[in-house]
Amino acid sequence: MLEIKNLHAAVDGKEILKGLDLTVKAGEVHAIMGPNGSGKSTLAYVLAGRAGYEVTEGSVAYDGKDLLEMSADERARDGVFLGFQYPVELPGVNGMTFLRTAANAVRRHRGLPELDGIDFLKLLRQKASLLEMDDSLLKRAVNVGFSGGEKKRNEIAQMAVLDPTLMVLDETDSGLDIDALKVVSKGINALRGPDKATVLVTHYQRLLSYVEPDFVHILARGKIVASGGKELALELERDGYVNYVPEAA
Amino acid sequence: MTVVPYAEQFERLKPALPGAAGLREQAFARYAAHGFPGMKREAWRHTKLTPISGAALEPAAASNVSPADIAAHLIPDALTLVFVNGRLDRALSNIEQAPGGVTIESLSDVLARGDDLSPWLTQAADDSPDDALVSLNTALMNDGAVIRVADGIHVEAPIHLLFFAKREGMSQVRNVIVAGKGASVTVAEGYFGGKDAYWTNVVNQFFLAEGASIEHARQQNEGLAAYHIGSNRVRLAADARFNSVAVMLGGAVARNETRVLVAGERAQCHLAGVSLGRGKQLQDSVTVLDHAVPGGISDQVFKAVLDDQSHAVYQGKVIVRQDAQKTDARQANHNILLARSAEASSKPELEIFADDVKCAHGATVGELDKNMLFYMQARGLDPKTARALLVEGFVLEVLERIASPEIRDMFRTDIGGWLHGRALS
Ligand SMILES: Nc1ncnc2c1ncn2[C@@H]1O[C@H](COP(=O)(O)OP(=O)(O)OP(=O)(O)O)[C@@H](O)[C@H]1O
Ligand SMILES: [Mg+2]
Repeated sequence: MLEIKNLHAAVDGKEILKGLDLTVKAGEVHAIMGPNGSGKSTLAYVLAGRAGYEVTEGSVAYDGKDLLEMSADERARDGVFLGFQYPVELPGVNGMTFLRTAANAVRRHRGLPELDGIDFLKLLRQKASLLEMDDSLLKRAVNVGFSGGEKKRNEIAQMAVLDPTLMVLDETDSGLDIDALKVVSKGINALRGPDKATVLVTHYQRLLSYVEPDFVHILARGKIVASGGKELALELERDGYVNYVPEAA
Repeated sequence: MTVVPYAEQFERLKPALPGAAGLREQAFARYAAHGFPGMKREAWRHTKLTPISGAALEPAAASNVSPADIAAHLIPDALTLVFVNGRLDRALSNIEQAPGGVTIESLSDVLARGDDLSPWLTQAADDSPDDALVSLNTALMNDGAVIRVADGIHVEAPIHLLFFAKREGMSQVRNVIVAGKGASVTVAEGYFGGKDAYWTNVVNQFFLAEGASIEHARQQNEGLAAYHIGSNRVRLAADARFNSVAVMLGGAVARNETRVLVAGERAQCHLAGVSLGRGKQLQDSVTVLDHAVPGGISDQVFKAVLDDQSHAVYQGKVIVRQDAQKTDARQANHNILLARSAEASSKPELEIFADDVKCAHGATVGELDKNMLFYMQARGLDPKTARALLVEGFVLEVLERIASPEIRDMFRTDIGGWLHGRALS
């Protein structure tokens, strides 16, 4: 599903990713952990196609296509979803209008008929209730005045409506209270499936006890420096990065 | 002495103008002392008026519109006054349906029958050169609406003043709105026109007695060759509330000036404006908030979205006089430039003579936020749609301030039409 080879990427002329390799197969969940500033969000942005993140070397294949050739919105319509570490506020942009426009853009791309207001509302209600989310939030301007946790929940609600193939979730667990973490995990698990794949960027083992990963990777100084099963996350929780990143000692 | 523009017209036209002969003479003299406000006047610096000051325009000839022409602009269940080339079209209006406690009349009728409106009319202008076109309006005013709401009356239906311009020439329109103690009313204005070069010079006077409330909405969608000079004068007694939202889309040169006197304690004034500019349009929003007494609240939000080589100006002056303690005056001006050649000018001016007051102002000029655009693209929206939604959102925030859902929807449709007609790519 996703094949990243020798990825080098720079921001503002500064190289952040320095030869990153990662292969994610359909049906898998991969967790990426790593110290602050190691390049996790940079990787997520490169996958989503953010302008200013310049790929200087390497390749990324998504479903056999050259992902780097696609614009950010093409990638999204083609099933790549980035859950933002810091969701962006859109003043004046109504949540329903935004999400319906997005959902219909995705549906057109998939050759599905567009949803009218009523059908969309039904879909949204259903997804929002799964996330135990008050749908009054969705009637407000996108993310404006939302609490940190509400913003993260909103990311998952959007994801549920858009039904992506590749989910890249950048610290979706940060800022969530214990109950919200369970609900959001339930939301993520509901979207898992044999034709889908998930990349979870996280600092904490806690999320991984709800959304069980098949692989855990350590990203440090722009590269994957170690990979393992879910026990690697437990080890990191106990010992920190000292065995993987010399300067963390 | 040099002859000011419109001197010959005034002499020729005055015998046929409705009533108020003495007042007209005085007003013309005031205007003639200065003539057109030149670009040396700070408050008129950007407003190039040569096409209407260089060669005096004649009054636009009587004309008519069909019910079909106006259908799209009507507010459901409103009390509607339709003016064509500045004259009331009675057949298309329904003012006789005004409920008890409300009188709605044609200015021309009121003046022709000899009513003395001068206690009100004279309050619109002083001797300043900045007021010259208001004085010229008093001299040449031909028609408009006179609306009186008695004490304690709440007028459910919005009162809608619709102005259509057909063919060249000028319209000198004067509207007087008087809300009695504790009265409340909604007044909407709409301006529409064809491709011709014409001039609308309109003066609105709002008088709010103690505890009165006026919701004011203004839709300026004149033809793109038009000159539109709108001057609003608002006087607030104690505990009165004036809430105004103005949308400016039309005109080659358009100005919306609002001057508010907070004359009674604890009065509130909310002013908002949206300018949408394209081509070489100039859209000038000018406000003067004069807090003369304690405890007044004023807040202003003016926004502009500018394409091509258009230019929006916001000049917002707040005066807090020595007695006006505990005044809370806020103003904000935000501009989005869709093209590098577009321009926004922002000029807040604070004159504060009291010490215990809250005054805040902020201004921004920028392109659309790249973070926001990326976030929207990351949800599958193409850049054009993302931009349109962001611009719409930026503008719709202002429309939230309109209390009437019907008027809000009408403005939203107008703005939506503008946005979709734009190459937001
Ligand atoms: N515009 C920029 N210019 C220069 N350096 C940048 C820029 N953006 C990010 N960086 C740097 O790139 C590095 C990686 O940042 P990134 O956000 O990918 O880290 P992260 O692993 O997600 O960290 P965290 O765990 O704190 O979220 C950091 O050192 C950051 O300062
Ligand atoms: Mg990060």
